[in-house]
Formats: sequence, C-alpha cells, structure tokens
Amino acid sequence: MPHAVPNKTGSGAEARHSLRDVLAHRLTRYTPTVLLDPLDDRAVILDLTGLSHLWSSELALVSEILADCDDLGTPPVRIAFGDTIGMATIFTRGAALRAQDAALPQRLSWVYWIPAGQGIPFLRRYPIAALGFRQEIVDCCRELGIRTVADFMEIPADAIAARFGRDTWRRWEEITGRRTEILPPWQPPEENSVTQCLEYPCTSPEALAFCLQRAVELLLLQTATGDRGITRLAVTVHCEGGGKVEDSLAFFTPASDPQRILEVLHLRLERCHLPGAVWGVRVTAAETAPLLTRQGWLFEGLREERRTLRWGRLVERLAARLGEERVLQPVLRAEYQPELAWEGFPIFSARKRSPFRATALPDLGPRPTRLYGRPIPVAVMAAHPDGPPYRCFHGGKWFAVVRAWGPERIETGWWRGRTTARDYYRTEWEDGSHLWLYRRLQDGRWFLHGSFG
Amino acid sequence: MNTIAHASHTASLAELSVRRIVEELRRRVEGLRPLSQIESPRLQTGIREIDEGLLSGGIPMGGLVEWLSDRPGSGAEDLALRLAAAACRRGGAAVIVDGAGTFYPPVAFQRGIDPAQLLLVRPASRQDAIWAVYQSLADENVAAVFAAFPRVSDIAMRRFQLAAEKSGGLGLILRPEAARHSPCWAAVRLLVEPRPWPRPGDTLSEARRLRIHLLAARGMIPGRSVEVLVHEPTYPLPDHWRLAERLRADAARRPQQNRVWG
Repeated sequence: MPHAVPNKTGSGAEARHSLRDVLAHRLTRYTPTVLLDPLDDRAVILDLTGLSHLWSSELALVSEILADCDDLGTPPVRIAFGDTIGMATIFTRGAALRAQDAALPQRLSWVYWIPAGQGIPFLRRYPIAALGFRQEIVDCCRELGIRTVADFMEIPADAIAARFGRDTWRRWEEITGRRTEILPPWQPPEENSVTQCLEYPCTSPEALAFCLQRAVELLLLQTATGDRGITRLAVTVHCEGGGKVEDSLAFFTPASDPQRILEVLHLRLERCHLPGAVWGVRVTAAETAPLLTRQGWLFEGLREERRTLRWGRLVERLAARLGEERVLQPVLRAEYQPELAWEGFPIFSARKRSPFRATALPDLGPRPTRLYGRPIPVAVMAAHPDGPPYRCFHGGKWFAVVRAWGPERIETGWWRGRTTARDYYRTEWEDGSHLWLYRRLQDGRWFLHGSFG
Repeated sequence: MNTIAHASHTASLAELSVRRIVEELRRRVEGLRPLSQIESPRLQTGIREIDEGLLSGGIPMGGLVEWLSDRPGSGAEDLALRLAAAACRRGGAAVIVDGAGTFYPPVAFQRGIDPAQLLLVRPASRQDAIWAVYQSLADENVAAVFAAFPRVSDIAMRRFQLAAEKSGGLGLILRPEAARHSPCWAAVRLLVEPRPWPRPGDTLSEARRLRIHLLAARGMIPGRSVEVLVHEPTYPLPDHWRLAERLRADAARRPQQNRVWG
C-alpha cells in the first residue's frame, strides 16, 4: 500500500492541490485505485492489492515512481509500503514528527518499506501524533503521559473506545488492519467553468440575471460535449471592492436544462446579501454525471421515471431556498432511545447513501407525534415512588392524570459513556390530552418528552 | 411504415393532452360541488363515525383540510397523519413541514407512510414554512402536505387552496382553535376536542375519546359533531398492573357495601 508525500509544498493550498492532482494523475498508470488521504492534503495512496505480479519487485516499482516524480518535477517525496493504509500513512506522516526521521536530509526522497506483518514493532517508536487521531485526543494522551505508540498499545483494547471515543477506536482498528479503511478516490478536477464579466459594476437584478443566464448557457455547452449534466454547481458572484459571494447548488438528477438551473440559482441568490455592485460571475460544474436520456413520455412505463424527476425538482427548489440541511430524508435507526431512533439526512447526502430504501420498523410501543428536543422538567406526584404519575404540574397549573399506561422501561446507551435509564408513561390528563412522560431512574426526576397528536 | 408510426404518435399525444384537459376540468367542477355529491374516490381516516357520519364518505383529494385544536396531545395530528397515509397509498409523496422542529417521523411510518416517500422540511421561519407548503402543494407528485401553523394569514390559506386544487394534492393544515372565526378556504374545517375517559384509572381500555366538530364543509351544513373512540394500540400491560387495577376497583366498591350493610 504505497503512500507518497512530497517533502516540500507549493506556496499555498491551491498549489498543493494542483501538485497532488498532477501526481495522482500520473500514478493512475500503476493502479486504477488512487485514493486521497483526508488527513494530509499532499498525500496520495495507491492500492496495489492483486497487482504485485506486474512488477518484478517492489524495488522496481519504487524506481518507476521516483522516476515519475523526477519527471514531473515534484519536490523529493517520502514513499511508504505497508500492510494497511493507516500503517503506510503513519510512516510518511510520522517521519516529520520523529526526531530521528526529521533529521534526514529533506532534499532526498525516502522510502519506508515495512515487511509484511511486522508493522506494529516498527510503529512502537513513533509519537502518538503520528497515528492521525484528532488533536484533542492527542492532547489528552499527552496529559495522561501517553507519548509514543508503545505507550498507547499498553492500554487494554476495551478501554480505548470508552476512554477516547469510538472514532479513536475505529482509527486504531484501521491502522492495525482489523477494519478496512474507506477513503475517497481521487477524481480528476473538473475544468468546466465559465466567467462572465459586466462592462461596469451593476446593482440591477436584471443585469445579474442576464449575466448568470449567459454563464450557465455557456457552461452547459461545455458539459454537453461529454454528454453529462451538472449535479453540483458552484457559483461565485464578484462584487465591487473585492467582496464576493460563494455558494453551491445541488441537483437531484443531472441537469442540462438552463431554465431548471437558473430557477434554482435565483431562489438561492434571493437569500444572499451582495456586498456591493456586481462586476462578474463565475459558474463551475463542481460535480457532473452522465445524462439520463430517454425517448419521451409516450408510454405508460415511463411515468414512474417522470414522477421521480418532478419530485426531484421540488426537492431542488426547497433545498435552494431553505438550505440543503433543512430538507431531510428521515431514516430509522436501530436505537431504542426515542430521540436517537431516527436520523434526518440532508436529502442530497441521503440519496447518495441509501437511495430511498425503506427500513423495517422496530417493534416499539406507541410513540408520540411530537418529541421535544429538550425534555421539559415537570413536577409530578405519584402514589408511590416507583408508581405512575398521579398529578402533574405544568404551565403553572396542576393537572390530574386520569389514566397512565406503562412503564415502558428504556435502559440503553451505556456504550456511549452515559447510560440512559427511563420509565416512560403514556398519560391522559384531565383535559383529555395524551402526553408522554418519563421518570429518570438515576435521580427520580420527571420530564415531559412528547405529545400524542 | 414511418408515416403510420408518426400518425399514431401524434394521435397519442393529442389523446394525452385531451385526457389531461378533461381531468383538469373534472377536478375543477368537482371543486365546486358539495362534498356529498362528489363521485371521485375519497380519502378516509379509517374511523367510521368521522368518515360516514361527519364527512359523508370521506375527503376528496385536491383541497385543504383544517384541523383545529387548542392544546398539544389533542389527537388532531394523529387523525391528520391517518389521512396523509391514505393519500400516499394512492401514489405520491408526503411532505411534512415542521416549523417547530419537534415532529417525530417514526410515528408517520407507524401510521403507514412509506419512509421512501416522506420528506421532512424544517424551515427556519414562518415565511419559509408558508413558502414550502405552497411549493409542495403545487407539485403534482406530492399526495399530502402536513403542516402546523400557530398563525397563518388568510391570503396564504387561499394560495394553499388554489395550489392544492391545481395539483390534486391534499393539504392538512393544523391551526389553533382561535382560527375558527377566520374565513375558511378549506374544503373541510374540523375542531378536535379531546375528552377525558369517564372512568379514571381504567387503563384496560386503550382507546381515547375525541369529539370532532364539523365547523365548515363545502356545500354542507356545519355544526354537526360526533364523539369517537380512537384506538391507540399500546404495549401489553404487565400482569401486576392488571392486578393492581382489580384491587383498586375492589377497594372502591368496599365502602359502598359497608354503607349498605351498616
């Protein structure tokens, strides 16, 4: 699993990215699976699983990679071979953190070759920061006296998740190879973008609309050549005085119709505050996808597709005006704690994760139509300490509880570090309303958590 | 051969457009008829007293239904969700516009709405909520829109009605009871009044009592009301609770017996 990082970088983030893109593009000749390291914007990872027979030895492969780097004019690189992605990244990233490695001449390229199955003993000498944990975890480890990987390995495996969180545990499992690490693949940067400038800075909405229309039409000419439609559009409105507004729009299906794009674009820009007169716009097809082309809607069988497309138009409009994070696809989760039993994914990310797949309903008791984000503390009188509520004080008034069903005991979440232990009662109050109360078992306090309709 | 294919293509397109116009006209004519004379299939809550006794067979698609109630937990939202599920079963999506951010989607799934067809919109302001409801109602692929408004203008309600009539969707708007005196643009306006159970402590029955008042309905005389028992399936009660119920009932009878014999 080679992991290559240039020793020196360009002047800024843009230069680094372009350097990595150039390197990644060249390295696709070795494997189609070139991955990006999310923790290091200079690094690329090659997955050579099943391809080793193409080279006589790893030395030959390294020689070719180094020759390529030399040919591209990149600065000296560090290349590491490891059993896992995590292992390889540690030996390149950790090199700068380890005094012995940092002392190596920076003007030379270095290759770390870790024999198969022997990565852990090599790893022990590296500082804890090389493992790629979050900074607060690294700080916490330092406070606890855990300075090297060897110190970290002294901690019992079960205690890692409890003390440092599931992310840390997951990362450690990825490094040691017990869990497969999934990383984003490298994709060639999109080059479809159009800049349109006005003759002079202008505040008129009509001028901006005209400028945008022209830019979008030209952009669609570019994307249409590859028979592709836009699924994410990045927009930059340049204003007088150096100010600019940047935004991006998502589309449910690949868009190639300028009217559709402009409608969504105007809905979004209606909510934007422009810092000054506009002198130009830049639109970029940040993500594209092959166009869905069909003959027409003449036959009945195509109605479903048409329905999907139209439903997608509504989603696009809602997301453009309200924000993508406010248009949600609710998905059930296998959790008994009521507030965690579902999750709302922003519709565009939900589409990518699970395209409208229905999940089975767990066999639960009655659930309220409204669940309060923060349970409301209420004073409750009960016939006996563990009994159902008898009277409740809410909104400055005492209410008699006419009927109560329960308890439904929910005791869960110990693995999250704080156990949730509650006795839920569905109660009917004297005014006829049905409300969901629970008693927190730790301290016996009562809370109003929801209402039934 | 090509000519024939072209001719049939043109005929089909013309036929489609004619069918669409006829459908549109039929929908508009039905929008003017009293509820009792509408022939198209109706949506039903599944509660006979409401569907037959109050609404003369159910609620037609392509309009608004206003649900008024003055307190949380009144049962109005549950009835509205039943209608939303009935609308979705005919095809189309359900859009929940949740301005308060407290709607609990699992209960919508329990009522029969397909998770794949549910869209939850959480707007940041009332204006955004009104805009989202209008956009959703105007979309012909949306079967039902569910929204609760503490305050909403008559103009917005009129726009909702026009959008629903045009698209053929169903708008389920929940409002406070104070809105009963405002002009009604909905096909049906119902007031839901929860009633306490007559026998306190009777947890053996899982039903809840609701009185539904018909405040307005197109072409019908308002003022009728029905009392219904809505069955809410609950988890089974533990045996010791049933025993406690029985002991409590016995204890309630005992003083009376003493009085008789004393």
